[in-house]
Amino acid sequence: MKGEPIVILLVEDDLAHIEIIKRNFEASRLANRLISVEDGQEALDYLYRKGKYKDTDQSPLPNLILLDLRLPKVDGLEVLKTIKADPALSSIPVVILTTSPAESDMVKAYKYNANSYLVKPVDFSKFNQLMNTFGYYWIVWNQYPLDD
Amino acid sequence: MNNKETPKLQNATNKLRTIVRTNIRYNISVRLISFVILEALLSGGIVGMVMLKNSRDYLRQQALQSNLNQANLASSYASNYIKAIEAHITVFATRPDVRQAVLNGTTQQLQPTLAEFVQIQTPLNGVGIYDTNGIQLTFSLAGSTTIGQSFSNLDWYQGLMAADKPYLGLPTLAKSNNVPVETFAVPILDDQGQIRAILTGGISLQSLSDTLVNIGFSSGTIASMIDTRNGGLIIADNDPSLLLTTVSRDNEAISRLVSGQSGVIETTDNKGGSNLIGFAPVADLPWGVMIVTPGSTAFAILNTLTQRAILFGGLILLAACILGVFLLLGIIRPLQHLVQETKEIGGGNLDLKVEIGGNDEIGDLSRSFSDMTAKLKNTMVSRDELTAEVIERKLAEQNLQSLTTYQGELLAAIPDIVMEVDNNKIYSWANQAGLEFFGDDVIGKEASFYFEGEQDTYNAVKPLFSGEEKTFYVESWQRHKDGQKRLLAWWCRVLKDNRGNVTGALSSAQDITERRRKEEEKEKFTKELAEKNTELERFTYTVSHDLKSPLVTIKTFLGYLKQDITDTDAGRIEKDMSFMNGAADKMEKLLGELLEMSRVGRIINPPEKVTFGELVKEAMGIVAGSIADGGVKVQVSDELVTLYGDRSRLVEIWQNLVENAVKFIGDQASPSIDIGIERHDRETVFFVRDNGIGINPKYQSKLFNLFEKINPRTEGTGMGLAITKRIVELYRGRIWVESKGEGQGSCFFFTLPGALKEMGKGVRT
Repeated sequence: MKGEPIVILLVEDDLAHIEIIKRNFEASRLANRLISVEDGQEALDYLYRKGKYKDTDQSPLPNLILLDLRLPKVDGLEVLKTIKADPALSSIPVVILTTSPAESDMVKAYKYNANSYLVKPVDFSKFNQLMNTFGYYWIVWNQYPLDD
Repeated sequence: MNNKETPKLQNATNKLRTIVRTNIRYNISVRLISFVILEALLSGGIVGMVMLKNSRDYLRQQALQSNLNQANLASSYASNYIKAIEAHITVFATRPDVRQAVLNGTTQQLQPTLAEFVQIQTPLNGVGIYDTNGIQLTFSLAGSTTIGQSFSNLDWYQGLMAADKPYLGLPTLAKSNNVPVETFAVPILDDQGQIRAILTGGISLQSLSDTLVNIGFSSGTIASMIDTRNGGLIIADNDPSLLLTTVSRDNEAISRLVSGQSGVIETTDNKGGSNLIGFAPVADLPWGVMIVTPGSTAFAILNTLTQRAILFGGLILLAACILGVFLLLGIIRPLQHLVQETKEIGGGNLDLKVEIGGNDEIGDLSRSFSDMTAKLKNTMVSRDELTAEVIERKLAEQNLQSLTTYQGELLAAIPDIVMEVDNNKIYSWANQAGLEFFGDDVIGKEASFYFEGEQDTYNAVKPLFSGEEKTFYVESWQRHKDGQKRLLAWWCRVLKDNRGNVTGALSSAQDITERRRKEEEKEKFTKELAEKNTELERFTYTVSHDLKSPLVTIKTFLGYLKQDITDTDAGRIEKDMSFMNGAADKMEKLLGELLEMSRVGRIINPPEKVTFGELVKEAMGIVAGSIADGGVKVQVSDELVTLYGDRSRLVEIWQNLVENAVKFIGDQASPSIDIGIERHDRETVFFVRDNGIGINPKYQSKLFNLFEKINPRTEGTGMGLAITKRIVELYRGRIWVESKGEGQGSCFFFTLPGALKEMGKGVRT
């Protein structure tokens, strides 16, 4: 998959936040493919290729998952737990991106083997800076194994 | 009796017997005096033994000390003996004629002078002069064969030359005359103090022995002297043949003497006799004295004393034994006999006659005893009659089993209830508190008559009625005399008669109704508090998260807006503002509902009576618009149930549920909502049922949580159901949802016991 764009699955229920993240990735001009789902159940459906996500070309397995915690239907932590408990999915890095700086959320997320925990900043330039750093780190510098 | 004896002899024999018998019949006073004498003899004996022991110890110490004194005496004698010889030899070495001869080299002419000196000085057996190389120049013995020989290998020569002062040589056989000597050597000096020759005097060990022996020790005593150098050699002894022999270091006295100590020890020789050995070093000399005294001599007085003491002791013991036997036969045996008889009489044999003769006090005692036995026999009959009467009385007393006045007062004073039941669990007695609780007519009634509801109290205390002797604790609901239901805590114990048969049970009880109620209230309150706490935590968490989320949106798009205005990108400006607007709306709604939420439970409207129909009608009025928009058909049950509470809050329940139903009605062809009442186990349950999209059972538990939205795209903040739940809970009710799944419709159930039962009581809403 070298040379192919990194596939990022964004699990986010707030449309405004999806827009912010999209704009940041576009501005950075980093080769990537951002797919967004709006609740926990949809995220699991995507990962397990259920319903409308049956087509593997349309819905490829992501290289990275950006996960919000407070989600409708199935909670973000539940999604995380499911991913990390499944040997087929557990190696996909999961980065938590949430507005909650609550200690309890952080402790649980890391306990369920989240790979990183980021808190959305309430500031335009800081949000941009975060997304920029995130992009370089996870898209440019981070190495992903080849598909088998 | 020999028949051949003459009558005269027989007569005499009889007479003698009478005399003996009369004299031997000592009365008991004489026997007691004898006992006192025996005591005195034994005490005297013990005192004597103690004194004997002390005397023996003292005499022993004296004997040891005496031996040591002899050794010290011999030691100081020897010291003086040698000092005198040293003085004479030293003076001789400084005689002008001797010195002159040495200086002139004419020492051989001194031979007669030396011979004369030895003759006067008997302790010496030879005197010689030697040059500084150790060659003998002259000797006291005329015609000595050793003149001209070298003595430089002898210890006295080497010792003197090395130390440059007088030296006492080791004991040895003299080279010149072959007798045991110890050579004392002194230098002969010129006027400048230079050694020009050596003068020696051989101290005769034979003379030394004679002198030592003649000091005059007690007979049998052996005195010896040893030179402690080179392991110790005998230099004086009673037995001259031992001279110059090496002493045995194994002997404790010798080894201590060689190491310079003085003392006295007692030893046992191979013949079994004991010896005292006193020993003391001789001052300023490498010598020591040893005095050996045989134990027989040293302890002569001691032994005589002991022999006599044993003899007297034996005599006293013999006398004591004779007296003892006399006492045993005279007092103890008759008494033992009496005791035996008494036992038999005690066992009931009153016909036995005590037969102890004699004219002494014991005889008198026996006769009195026999008389008493006879009298006792006479009184026995009347005693048996008396016993029968006593037994009868006791039985009567047991049957009475009544409480004394004091015990009665005591039980009356106890604030606890005290009740007694018989074997049939019928109350047979009650204290004051018991009568006050159950009523004066409780006695004679069955205990179960006062039970409130089904109880297993009887089972719990069952072992008690089969005699188990421990306190049983039970709690049971009982009917007070005024009809009230009260919870009593009972402590029950078995009652038994004298023969151990169970006669009933005695129980004390406390009214714990209030205590239990308070405990339950506390428990409920604690539980509620915990629930509120959880809710508050969730609330804080949610507020921080959900309010922050639109804030992030607004702030970020404000940034984009700034950029887009600079770029004059109209499309983007529109979009940015729309996102910001949406976020602001969301925030406004959230804040509004938060306020609403906080009002529930704080704002109190005066409670009023209102029917179910009125409440539903009012709610329908509020949501009429959306019902009409969705074309939903609503059915309301016409049941007549009256509720009592905050009217506007109660209305809100139906309003929220109907709004919710309309919102999730989906694209039903014939959407409908059914509002009514069901009875589950005497409980009134309200319901709002729809045929809408339904709810996945997975999400049903999350439904009533604050800000919880199952569908992210729907209107609202997810607070409607949370508020509804809160109102229901204020009326101590429950709310739950039933749905077979998505597309299957859903039904919300709830109860409002607080609004149905507590008529006349205000409820905070």
